[in-house]
Amino acid sequence: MIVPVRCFTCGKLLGDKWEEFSRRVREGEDASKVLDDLGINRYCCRRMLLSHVEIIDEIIKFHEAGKNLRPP
Amino acid sequence: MNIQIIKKNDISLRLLIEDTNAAFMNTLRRIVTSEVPSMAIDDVVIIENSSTLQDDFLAHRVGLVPLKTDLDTYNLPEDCTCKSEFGCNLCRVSLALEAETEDHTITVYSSHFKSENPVVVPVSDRIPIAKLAPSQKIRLEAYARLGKGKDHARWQPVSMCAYKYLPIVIVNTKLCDLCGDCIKICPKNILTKAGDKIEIRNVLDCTLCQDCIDACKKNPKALEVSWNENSFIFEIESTGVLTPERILKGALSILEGKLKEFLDQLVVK
Amino acid sequence: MKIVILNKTKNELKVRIDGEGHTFCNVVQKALLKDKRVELAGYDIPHPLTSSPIIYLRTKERSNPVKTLRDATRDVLKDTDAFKAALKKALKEWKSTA
Repeated sequence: MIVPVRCFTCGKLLGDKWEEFSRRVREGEDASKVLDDLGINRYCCRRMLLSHVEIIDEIIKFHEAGKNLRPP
Repeated sequence: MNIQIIKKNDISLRLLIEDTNAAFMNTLRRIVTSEVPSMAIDDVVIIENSSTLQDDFLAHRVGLVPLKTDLDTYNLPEDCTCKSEFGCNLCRVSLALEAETEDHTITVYSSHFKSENPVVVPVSDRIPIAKLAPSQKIRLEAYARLGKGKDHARWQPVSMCAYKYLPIVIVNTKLCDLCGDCIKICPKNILTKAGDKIEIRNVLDCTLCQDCIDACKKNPKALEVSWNENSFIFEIESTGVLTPERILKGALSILEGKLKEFLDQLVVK
Repeated sequence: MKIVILNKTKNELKVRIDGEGHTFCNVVQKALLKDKRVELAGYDIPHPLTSSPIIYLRTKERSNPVKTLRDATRDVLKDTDAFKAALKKALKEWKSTA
C-alpha cells in the first residue's frame, strides 16, 4: 500500500529512502546503483525497495467515494 | 583480549577481537539483539482517522518508527518505581501526530510528530507514515516506552549483528602456476594478480566459502584457507536509535548484571 | 533470574535457572569446560517455551562443585571486564587517529 517502514527481514529503516529511490529510477538511473548509493547492501533490504509498488497513490484517488460515510 | 576497530561510523561498527571464544561472542550477539532496551511507541490512541489507511495499519506503522533513545533518563516500565500500568514521566514519553489537508494530497512524515521530550524523536524526518487526500484528517496520541527486542522486533536496536572467525588465506607461491581461476571464482574479490604472484587484497572480507580451493587445479592445492578459532570479526549495524558503541556497552553491562546476580544467589554452604 | 539447586552431592551439582536461556548458560558451560577440576559440564533446556535451563556439573575428586561454578562465573566476568577495557582503548585510539 505505502512503503514499509523497515525491512521485513533485518529491520533496517528503509521508509525514508523510498522517495529518492523511486524518483531516480523513474528518471532512468540503474536501480542497482541507486541502492548502492543509498547504502542498502543486504539483499533482504534491496528487495524491499526494488519490488515495492506504491498502490496508495491509486487508492487515494477514490477518496471522494467515502466522504458521505464519514461522521460530520 | 585485544580489540581493533576496522570500520566505524554513526550507525555501524566493525571490530577485530582477539583472544576470546565463540560462546562469548554469541552471548554478546544474543544480548545485543534481544535484551538491550530501546525506545519505541507502544500505545496509540487514535482520536480521528479518515485516511485510506485503517486504524490498526496506521498504529502498526507508528509503532515501527525508530525513536532516538536516552537509556540514562528513562526506566524500563517493569523496573519503574511508579508501578503504574499507564506509566509516569520516567518510563513513558508521549508523542502527538496531527495532520490534515484542504486542497491537495499530502504525505504525513515522521517530522509531523510532536514529542513531549525533544530528545526522543524519530531517527529520520522523512519516513512516510500515511498519505492524505483533501478533507482527510489524522489525529493520534502515541505513548513510547523502553522495551527489549525479545518482546517485539520494534525494540531491537540493531538491524544486523553478526560475527565470524578471522580468515587466514595463504598462497603457496612455489606450487601456484598463476592460472587465475581462483581470482575469477572468489565471490568477494579477495584475490588479485600483482606482477608475478597472486596477492590477497582484503582478507577480512573472506567468507570462508573455499570456492578458491575447489577451483585450484593443482594437487596438492596451491591455496590454503583456514581460520583462527580465537579471533573474530564482530559487526553491528544500528537502526539509529543508539550509537553502536552505546549498544555494545549496554550489552556488556547487562551480561555483567546477569553474572553478578548468579553469583549472589549461588552461595557456598 | 531465580536459582533453584535441584541436587547437590560431594562432586555433583544440578542447578535450575529460571528466566535465562542459551544466552547465559552457554558461556558459563564453556568457562566450566576450560577448568581442569571439571569432569563433566553441560546444560539442558527441557522445554523451549518455559525458559528454565538446568546446568549440570560433575567435578573431579576433592573439588567443591559450587565453588567451581562460582569460579567459572567469575572467569566470564573477567572476560567481560577485559572486553570493556579493550573496547574503551580501541575507541580512544580510533578517535586519536581520526
